[in-house]
Amino acid sequence: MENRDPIPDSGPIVRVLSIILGVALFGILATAVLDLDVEATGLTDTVMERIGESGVDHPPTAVLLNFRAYDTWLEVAVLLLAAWGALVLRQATRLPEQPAARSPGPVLDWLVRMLIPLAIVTGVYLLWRGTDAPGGAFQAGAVIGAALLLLRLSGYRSIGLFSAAWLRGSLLAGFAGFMAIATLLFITGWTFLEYPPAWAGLIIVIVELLITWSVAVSFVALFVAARPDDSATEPVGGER
Amino acid sequence: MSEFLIYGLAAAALFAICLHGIITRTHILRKILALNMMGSAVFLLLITIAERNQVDGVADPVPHAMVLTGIVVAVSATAFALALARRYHAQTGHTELHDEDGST
Repeated sequence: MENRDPIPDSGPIVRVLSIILGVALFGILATAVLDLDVEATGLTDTVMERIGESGVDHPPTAVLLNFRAYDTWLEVAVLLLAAWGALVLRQATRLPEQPAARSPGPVLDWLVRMLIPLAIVTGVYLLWRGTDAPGGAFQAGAVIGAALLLLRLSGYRSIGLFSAAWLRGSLLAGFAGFMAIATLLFITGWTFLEYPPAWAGLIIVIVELLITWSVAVSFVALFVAARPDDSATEPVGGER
Repeated sequence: MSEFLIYGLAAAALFAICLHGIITRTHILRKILALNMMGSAVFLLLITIAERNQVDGVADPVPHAMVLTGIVVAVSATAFALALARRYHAQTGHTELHDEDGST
């Protein structure tokens, strides 16, 4: 790629207008912030009162996966759409390894062998820990996703082994599993995304397991699919 | 000036600065970064509110959970935006948005 002049930013008029707009926006937002109470307790007491019914002991986990499960469900949907969108952009249903990308020396080989089991154990630990301490499905998914990515980047086969159906199923697992459980409970007489307190702990662990896998695969899919495939996408009319 | 106001006003300022960035920077990557930072400004405010609402050392879990949700949404949206930007660059060779007639 040739050296180009830095791309010029907007002209002075746009700049001045933008600064005026920014200052005005800051004024409005600052007024809103100043209008807030400096001392308040918000919903802390409400959550702590009912946390016994949630099936977990860690307040944010209780909010994420029980009290406001709707948010988390739709968050998984956003992640699914983003990963799916990246695959669509690449016009791919699988993410096969680039041929001849592999040149691991002995140090890298050794390091990968050490790190992968460690990452898996850390991921599962984070997932399990989420019930009573910071941690949970997304953190665990990020660690396991990083492990899959490390394997791929150092020339081993990881996500490239997935068939199209496996890849799609993995991306969908969190969203679909969440929905299936909620629908099942809905049919048996509970409100949508409401869990019976006696089963809440088990349901949350199952949902978190599925989300962990989906998050891990989605992150890898986003990372891999965002890289232009050198063989498939030729630049059209542009200089390289 | 209380801690709450310092962080709250910092969040408001960061948000406004990022809007300026989105408007004046032409490079797509910079626009995406500015948008991402804008989200961080909102997270800063939410964390400040969670901290303010703490009772007996427990921070308000509702804004706390909102930030956790928001981070994942922001990561997903940013990653998808980057995928779009790279695709756009691969197709056109440009790193900034152009009108139909080719002007910046």
